[in-house]
Amino acid sequence: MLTSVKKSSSIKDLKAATNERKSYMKKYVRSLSILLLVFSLLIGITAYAASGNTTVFYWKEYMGEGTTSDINYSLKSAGYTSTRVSKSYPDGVLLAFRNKKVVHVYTHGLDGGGGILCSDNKMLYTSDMSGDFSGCKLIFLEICQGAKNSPTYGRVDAKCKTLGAKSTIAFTENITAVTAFDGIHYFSKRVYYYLCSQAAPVSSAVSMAKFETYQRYGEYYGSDSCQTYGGSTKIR
Amino acid sequence: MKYNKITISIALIISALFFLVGYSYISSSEPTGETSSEFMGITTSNARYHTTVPASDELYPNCDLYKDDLYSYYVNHEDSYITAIVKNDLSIDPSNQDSITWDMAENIATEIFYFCNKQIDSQNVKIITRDGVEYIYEFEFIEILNGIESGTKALIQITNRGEILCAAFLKQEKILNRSAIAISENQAQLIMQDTILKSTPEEEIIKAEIDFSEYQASVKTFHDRTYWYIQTNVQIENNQSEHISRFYEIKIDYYSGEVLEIASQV
Repeated sequence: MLTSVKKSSSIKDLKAATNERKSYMKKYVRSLSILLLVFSLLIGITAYAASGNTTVFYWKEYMGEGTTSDINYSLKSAGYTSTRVSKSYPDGVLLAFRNKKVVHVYTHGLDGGGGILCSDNKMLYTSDMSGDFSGCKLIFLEICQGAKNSPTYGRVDAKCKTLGAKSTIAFTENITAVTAFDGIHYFSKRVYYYLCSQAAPVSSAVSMAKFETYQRYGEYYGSDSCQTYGGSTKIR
Repeated sequence: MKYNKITISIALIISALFFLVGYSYISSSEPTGETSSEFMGITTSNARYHTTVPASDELYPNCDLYKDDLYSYYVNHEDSYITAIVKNDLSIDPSNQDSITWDMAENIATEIFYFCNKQIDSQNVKIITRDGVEYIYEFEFIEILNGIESGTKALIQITNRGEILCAAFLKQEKILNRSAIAISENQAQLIMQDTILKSTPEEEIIKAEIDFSEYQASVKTFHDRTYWYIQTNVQIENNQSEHISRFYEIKIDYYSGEVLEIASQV
């Protein structure tokens, strides 16, 4: 008798324990699912938004600002931590090529190609460029003749590509503007609009910006000499 | 391989025909002023009215935007013509497989240009073929009447898959007065030099000489203005006796000599 009572109570205990374990498992699975959902959502958001540091160089005293403020805004909107630097010294530009995800340089180019004229008339020649640029998704040279092949120095954009930059945008000819907001500055601003807001690849963004410049002004302001490497690259 | 090329060609021709049939409904329909849908004939084509672009827009103020699965069409409501076609999906396929040739791209662009500008005689059209950026073919079409641009022109960019990436159609806005006496190229050069001497108040320029080594001048028309368009380096001497070479692009009205715009290298 005692044995049967003991047996029935142990069965009841077992059932209760199983039920408890089942409900615990249910709760556990539910919590895990929610956690996984949140995690995937976070990963999705992170993958969608760009991240990393970018630099927009300009030479305030001599060149003005162009549309670098709009460019900086576009990069920030895409998720980057973007900094606008009003002085573009050779070391700083070179360091940015090595460490930043996107680098925009708005300054003068060496006549005949092969160099970037930095602040205080300091020149960054292609022969001075070294290091690993493979972390850089895009180098945009808003300078005259940045894609022109100099017999002495070669092409600036080609050197960036050789050193590992995923994509480059540069011009073989001179680029012009009437004010700080039109001409080639308008073109540059629109390139970033398509790169950052429309997640377009580099070659499509450049083509769209060129088409819009033509539609608006009937001229190109040098954007018809734009050359790209790595045109299928996206920065967002 | 040969079979592939034929298949691609047939596919491209069929796509172009579909585009043209769709477009014919758009261009042939007269605006009724009642509903945009009637104007676009969307009951028979896939393009549907999407919105009217605000007047403040930089590119398409007050234009009607229509969309189908592939393209967006910006339509000038007043004059009922398409000002731009833009591919909805801007992604590109960088692989070389099935890429079209220059000739095929030019055929597609030409067909679209003449379809959008039926009244134009092909003998009056100059085609400029330019290396687009990677994967993209670029063509500019310019109507020239009596040696001068009429104002009707287009920039058409075709992807390596034979699709339109974007196309801008500029129209002659009104019949321009061609009877007025035009200024000569020499006069335009003098106006340019004079303008440069006066143009930079922060820098006193005492001498400006055109460097003819890379000089280019042409007569162009944009909307209702015809102008001399001069692109050249100019050797400048300032009051500090510094000699600088600077690149300029200047627009000078072809008839009045008024300086419309002076752009200098950045």
